[in-house]
Amino acid sequence: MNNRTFIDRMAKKLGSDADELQQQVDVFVQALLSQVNAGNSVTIKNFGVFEQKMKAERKIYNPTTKSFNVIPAKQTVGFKMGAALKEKVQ
Amino acid sequence: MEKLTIQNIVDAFVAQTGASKKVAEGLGRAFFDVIIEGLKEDGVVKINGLGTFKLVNVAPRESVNVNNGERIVIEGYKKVTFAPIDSVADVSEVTAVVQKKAKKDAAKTKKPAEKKETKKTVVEDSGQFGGIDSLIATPESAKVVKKAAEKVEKAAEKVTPAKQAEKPVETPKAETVKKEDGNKNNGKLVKALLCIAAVAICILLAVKFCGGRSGESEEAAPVEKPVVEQPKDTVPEQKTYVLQRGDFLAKISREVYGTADSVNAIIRLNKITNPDSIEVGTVLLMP
Repeated sequence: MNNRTFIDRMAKKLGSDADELQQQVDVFVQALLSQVNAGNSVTIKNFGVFEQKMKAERKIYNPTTKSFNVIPAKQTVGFKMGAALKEKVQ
Repeated sequence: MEKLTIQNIVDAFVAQTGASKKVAEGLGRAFFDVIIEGLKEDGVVKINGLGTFKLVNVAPRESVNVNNGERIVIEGYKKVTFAPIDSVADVSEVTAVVQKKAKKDAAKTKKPAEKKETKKTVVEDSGQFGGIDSLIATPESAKVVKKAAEKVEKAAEKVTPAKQAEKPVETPKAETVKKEDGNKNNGKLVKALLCIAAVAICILLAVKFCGGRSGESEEAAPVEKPVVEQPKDTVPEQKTYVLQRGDFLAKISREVYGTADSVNAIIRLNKITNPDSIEVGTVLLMP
């Protein structure tokens, strides 16, 4: 399911315009991500938990330049599914 | 770190858009419901600005019951994974988080760092001995060695007078006590005091002995360090091999690395076009 069908499906459910809904979803996603990026964990009932995750810095070898480069540590968003979601998707 | 729920996100959404709470809650519920629907239908849901949810099969696996040691099979199941988009976190936020972590780490390592500093001072104090050893190695420095030796002797002299000075300070006390109190009861007290004085001297000597020993053990540390640093310097340097008659790449690889697996790497690095005929005397770069 791509973003288009996702928004269309939501619009059908809520009975609202797809373009408007897209904007609302963008704001909703930003609100979710800003909380997670601030280091908080966001629990969504019957779905799962969004959490901040740190990726440690690592060395990679570039075969063409034959040099070792360091990829710096970075922050990302992790997700763990909840027990209710696990049951639903089986 | 706080534990938030969907309610907090809905509140933030309401504050930002000015929409009614009912609409916001409906949106939040529909958002995650449709994700579940999409997962059931296609197994994949892509959302702009967030990332991709995927349904992944987890294969059944064997495990052991911890209580009775029996083999059991954990059944396979489907798992929802989430891959965030690359720009999921702003750079400024990332650096803030990294700095926070660095501060935490610094706070943790503060105590060990202080210990290290004290150790360093000990090493510096005992550095005279190590200094002499290193100086002896160079031929010019005979005079310097003598001077340094004299210094050490002086230092040793300083230590011994200090010991002698402490002894007289404590023993006279005991003696004066003896003279003042002639009674039998006080005689016992005097004996006790003498014992305490003796124990004190013993402790002082022991402390000095231990101090000397720890100094010796720390002397070894600065000698070891440069040895460790040397291989670090040599690692970036390119290894080379001069080709001799009768050599072939597999043999060279076996000699240098112990296996013939690096042949292809050598060919690639040296851009060898025909590995079966290479001129004697060519310098090969080793990967």
